[in-house]
Amino acid sequence: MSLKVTPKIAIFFANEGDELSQSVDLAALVPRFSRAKNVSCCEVLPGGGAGKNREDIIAKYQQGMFNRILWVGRFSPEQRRNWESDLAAAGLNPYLQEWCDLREQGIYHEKDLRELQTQKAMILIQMSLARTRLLEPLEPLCLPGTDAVLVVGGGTAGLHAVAALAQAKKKVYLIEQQSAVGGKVAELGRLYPRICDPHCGLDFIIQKIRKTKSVEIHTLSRVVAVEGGPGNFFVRVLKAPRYVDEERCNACGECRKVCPVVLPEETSGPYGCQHAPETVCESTFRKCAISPPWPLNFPTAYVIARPLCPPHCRKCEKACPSAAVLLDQPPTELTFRVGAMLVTTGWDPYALAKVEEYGYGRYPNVISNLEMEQQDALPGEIREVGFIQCAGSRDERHLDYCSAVCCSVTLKQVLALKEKNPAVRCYIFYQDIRTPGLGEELYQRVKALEGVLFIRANPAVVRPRQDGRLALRVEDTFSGKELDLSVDLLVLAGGLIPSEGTSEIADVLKLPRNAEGFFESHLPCHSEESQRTGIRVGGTSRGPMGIDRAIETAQQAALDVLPFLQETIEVTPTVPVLNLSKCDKCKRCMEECPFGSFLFDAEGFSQVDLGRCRQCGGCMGTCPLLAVSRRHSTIEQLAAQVRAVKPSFLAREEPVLLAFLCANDAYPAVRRAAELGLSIPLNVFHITVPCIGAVNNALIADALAFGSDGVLIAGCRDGQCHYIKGNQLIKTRGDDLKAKLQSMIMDPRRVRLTNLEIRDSRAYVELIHSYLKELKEMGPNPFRA
Amino acid sequence: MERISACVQCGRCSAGCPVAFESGQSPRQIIRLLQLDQRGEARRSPLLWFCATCQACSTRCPRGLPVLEIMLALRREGQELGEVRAPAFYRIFRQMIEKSGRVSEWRLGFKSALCRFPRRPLGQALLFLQLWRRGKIR
Repeated sequence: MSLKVTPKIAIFFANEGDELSQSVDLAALVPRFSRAKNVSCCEVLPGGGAGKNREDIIAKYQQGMFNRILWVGRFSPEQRRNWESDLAAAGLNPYLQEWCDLREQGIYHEKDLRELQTQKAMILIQMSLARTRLLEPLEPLCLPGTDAVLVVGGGTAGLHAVAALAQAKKKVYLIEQQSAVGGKVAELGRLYPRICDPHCGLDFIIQKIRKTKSVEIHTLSRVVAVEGGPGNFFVRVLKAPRYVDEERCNACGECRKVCPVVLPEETSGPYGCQHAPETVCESTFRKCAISPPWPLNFPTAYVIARPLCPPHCRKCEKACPSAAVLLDQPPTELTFRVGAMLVTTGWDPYALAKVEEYGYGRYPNVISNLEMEQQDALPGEIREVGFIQCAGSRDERHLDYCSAVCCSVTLKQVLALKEKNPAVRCYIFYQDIRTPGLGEELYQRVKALEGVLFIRANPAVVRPRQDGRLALRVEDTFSGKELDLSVDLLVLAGGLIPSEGTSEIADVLKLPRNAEGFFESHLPCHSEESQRTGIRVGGTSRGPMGIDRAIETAQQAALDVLPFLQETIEVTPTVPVLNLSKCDKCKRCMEECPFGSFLFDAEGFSQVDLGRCRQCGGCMGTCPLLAVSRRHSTIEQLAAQVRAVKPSFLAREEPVLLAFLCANDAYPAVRRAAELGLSIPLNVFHITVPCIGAVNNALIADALAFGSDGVLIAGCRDGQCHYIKGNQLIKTRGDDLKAKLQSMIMDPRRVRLTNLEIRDSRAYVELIHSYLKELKEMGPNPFRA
Repeated sequence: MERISACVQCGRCSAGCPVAFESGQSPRQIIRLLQLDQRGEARRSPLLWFCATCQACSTRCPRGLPVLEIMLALRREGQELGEVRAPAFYRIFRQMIEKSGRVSEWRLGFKSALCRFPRRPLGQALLFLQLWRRGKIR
């Protein structure tokens, strides 16, 4: 900041259509404020902000008559923006303007109350004036950035995100832990609703990625550490050796002919890969130690499972015509500098062996739906197939949630099965069939098939019979009849859980997860948002979902990281600033920051990472030494506003209430109340804060010490805070506050928390009235003059 | 009882119940009656007295409902309200315990058979004999 300029404040009253002069006595206010400290001009604008006024004001500014403005009256957000941009063009910093709307403070066209309203307006303008004196010019901050982005997980979601980012001409690093991309979808047989081959769609997206040069794919890799913040992440990736040169290998297959390792063709049981879809399937597919990549051939280079190699065998190396085999390749560690990260680490199947009663893992003809996917055609002797839905999902003992896709998957499998073996009889045991939206069509199609019976019940237990079939006992809940059925094959619709990679990356990135283990986000508003700025999550790592939604969310997440992928990242200047001379390193700011934006600096003080910070001001609210201040609503500015409240304009028995409003929900609710003309009593003074978490206990104490009879803190409802936990922060600070109030010999009921939604205007006004009544009963604040 | 509404009527309790087939009603139906607020009917269900308290229902419930406890509570409630009289077997069992503190199995069997005397005397005697031969009655 340059030299401190003495503030010269211009106060403009917007009196469009005599709106203001009808409710307050402007003739008294204008001369009163013309004499106020630091005020250089005080005028009434008869025509609001239109035409001549605008040029006039700009001219006056350019003559140097004032260097900051306090606007009094009602301005729509558009008008404010226009004024700000017009004056910015003339050279006035937009952060040097303050807006004081009298109407949302309860000042209406009440003729009888005009005298009182004028007095309240006087106090309100004084509050705003106090704040205007302390305003500082701010410029957007520019942080260095980079246009590279790292995508973790190369499943369908990841691939679509990569394609979208590559199309936006960004450098993309894709980190995949398997030897090829494709993920779980590549293991599926068919996709609903078109019952098409998933490889078709995967191939389509891979073709797109192959065409671009800006995508770098690292297979057999995992993220081990991340440092830095948005715009400047340094990601350390450990890449396991492939033992085959990716550039040289042309997948001719000569090496496979000489490889001495022979893996068993079929594992136990008649249904192929039994009970461990990931590892065993892969090994059946491999057949020998050197094999094409899994699950898709992208990248095409072969891969060697070194632990399977016999000692000292180097046959493949000799056989390779293009000398691509590198048997002594060491693991490598790579570091990428990226502007943002995208996590699409996907899902794993739930371990069905835990659902003991269905005998998965014990009986060979009990298989999971994922294994069913891999069946081409069933043996001819299979006559009856049972499908048990919600095997492990929606069950207290297993997964509490609905896995979202299993119903459609089963219906799809029944369709595919009936297509190949029309004579097979299918039983579907279900609790509810959930195929929302257009999925109904799939349900109706299966329902219409002959030999498919939907039974609304779950079997309790599965027992093997002498003849190798499985006996099921189930109560048909519609008829109340007990059924004894037997099937040749039982398919369990197992659920989705967050993949191992998801837990791994969550630990590395310190991304908070919900109780189910999926990434937490603000679901209704920014579902792809994670609690770490610059890191977005997409696909099934966010929750169980179908492929369509996985792709959508991944692309949404990709779109969302674009602002971080620039050479310079512009950050709004309203960031918190730490006054290190006050700080005693208590680290409370670090603890309470919902976004983990604080780091330790070299001397052990906390330091805010401006890129990560979402500017809620929670740190300012929590600091016991008032060492943190969020710019443009600094602790000094707020304190000046609080201290300017003079309760003496009302009779002593009339309580005065100071309300802190959260800018996201409570303030719009109050604004709407004013627009609806609801009676906001004159006893209330509103102060808007960025988030309710930014209200420091010192401010509350100040408000009471300067004579307000009560303090209302209006934040968002639980789970709706735009900054995740602002309302909870203030709640947890409540105990502290209680002790403080008691030391002031103050009734703790004088401070009240409330949660409002954005349209709770009526509820707010009712609350104000009832609270004022309560305060009246409590009697005046002992500190009130 | 507020958790009754958590039941999703999946029928696992009934399918696992070893005695439901005897009574013509299933635990799921009892819970449904409770959900429909027809407690009287639930209390009068014969299934309650067939229940062997084996807990198969409770262990299999995906919502974690204490099905057995519900059954026992209904039994007690029915008796307290005087709506139902416990079957002879239970009454005799209780009398014996109250009187001597121990149960003589053959007397219990004999007495309860006597209570149903007009019905199937021969069948009862045969059952008794079979049980005795296998050492189930001492």
